[in-house]
Amino acid sequence: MSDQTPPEDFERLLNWLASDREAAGRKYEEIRRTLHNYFRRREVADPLSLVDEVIERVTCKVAEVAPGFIGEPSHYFLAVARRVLAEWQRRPVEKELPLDIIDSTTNESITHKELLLQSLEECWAKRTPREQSILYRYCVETPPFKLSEARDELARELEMSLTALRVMVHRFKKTIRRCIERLMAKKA
Amino acid sequence: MPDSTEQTKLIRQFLVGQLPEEQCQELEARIFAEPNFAEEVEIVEEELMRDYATGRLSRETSALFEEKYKHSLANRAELEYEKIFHQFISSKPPTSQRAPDTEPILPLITNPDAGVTLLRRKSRFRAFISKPATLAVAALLLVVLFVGLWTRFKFGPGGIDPALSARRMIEERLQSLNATAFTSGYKLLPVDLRPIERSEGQIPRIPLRTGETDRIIEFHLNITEEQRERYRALFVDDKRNELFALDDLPVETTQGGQEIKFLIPGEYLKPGDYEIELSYIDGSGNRRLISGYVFRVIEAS
Repeated sequence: MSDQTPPEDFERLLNWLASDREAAGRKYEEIRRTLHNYFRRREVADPLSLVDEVIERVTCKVAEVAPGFIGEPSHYFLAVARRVLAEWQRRPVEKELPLDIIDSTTNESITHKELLLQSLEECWAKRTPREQSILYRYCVETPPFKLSEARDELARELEMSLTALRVMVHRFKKTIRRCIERLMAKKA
Repeated sequence: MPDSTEQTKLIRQFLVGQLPEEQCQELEARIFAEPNFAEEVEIVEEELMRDYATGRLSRETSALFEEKYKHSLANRAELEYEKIFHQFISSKPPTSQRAPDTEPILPLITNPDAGVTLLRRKSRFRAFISKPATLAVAALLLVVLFVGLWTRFKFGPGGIDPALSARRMIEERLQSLNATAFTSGYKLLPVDLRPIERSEGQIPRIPLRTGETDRIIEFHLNITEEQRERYRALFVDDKRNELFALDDLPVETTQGGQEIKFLIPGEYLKPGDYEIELSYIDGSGNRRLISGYVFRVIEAS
């Protein structure tokens, strides 16, 4: 939410997403993430600024739109996102970047990586030994066993399908990622 | 890994920019409408990045991937994160897998005394285990210990794993409730659920009041699959924790089609998101997942 958005508009937006405040918060985070992925996959260099733009526009319109809107609010977010993307694509910016634009030797880049690793270490330590073990065994190949064999074995041990295991591991990773983002935002 | 499925293939094509614009927009609409599909795309994207990093992509796909992922700063940051995460996790084997490294190899080489001590201990142990009588007594003790522990902790509510014991107690109550269908004195709340793929992104809401113990939810799971003999419904929460399961559920034919009906006391469901995983056991004895049914429990006003 931008600083200029009136708090009551943002309240209205949350109420539109779900009547329960906690559920609305979750939904809001989910929409932000979906928007971020949408712009990133559309090769927008700075997806966050466009995500903010979409949220800002929807928040301003919510009092007008929400009462008569049929369906999930996420559909409306997508419609606004498409418009914002089209506007961005018309702007005279350089879309393609040279391959070496991320110079991993600069001080800034090194500090960022250190901060990331530090946060990763802290967030990893917050996971239970069971979760750590599942993540390791799912992600890391330990010869002579192939990764696919290790995953089959793990799914059997946990008495779940490989599909369910795949989703579970993804959610573990997502939790760690969110924890890192929170920590890095605090430390930055 | 379901790499070979048509859906995964389509998502991969979408991610590397191989689909026409119209189809991309259709997929993006699904991503916004169906959280489960959005999650599937995230998973496939992670797998794609991993395959790229380990050189498992074909030359053509690899070139397309680079075109899409290496030119945008945000995508490159994503790739970089995946790389760092994988390097980090590779350095964190679980304790049980680290065990071989913790054996005292160094003292044996650098300290002869330590080596001798270890050898002496080994010899005593060998002497101990080489006597058949000692072995038989030890084996007997182990069996007695195992049986004791098994009978104590396997079924007891105060066993090693309280969560498991609690789950068993819930499942026993559910089996008995569903076998007798005795709901007299309870308020029945019928809930119809459709499989995720046919729910059009809608999550049915079930309003329940915390602490209300006289409410029973009558779930009706609509199914379109070929009919099997018996099904299993497993409840999982939004963190994918398994809560409880109901086995041996039959299919009923109603006016609305085929459905599976069962009863769950409302007190077992707190506000939050849930999924019911419906599965059956195939001819080879393997459990097959058919479909998921999502719903949300909200606090009733």
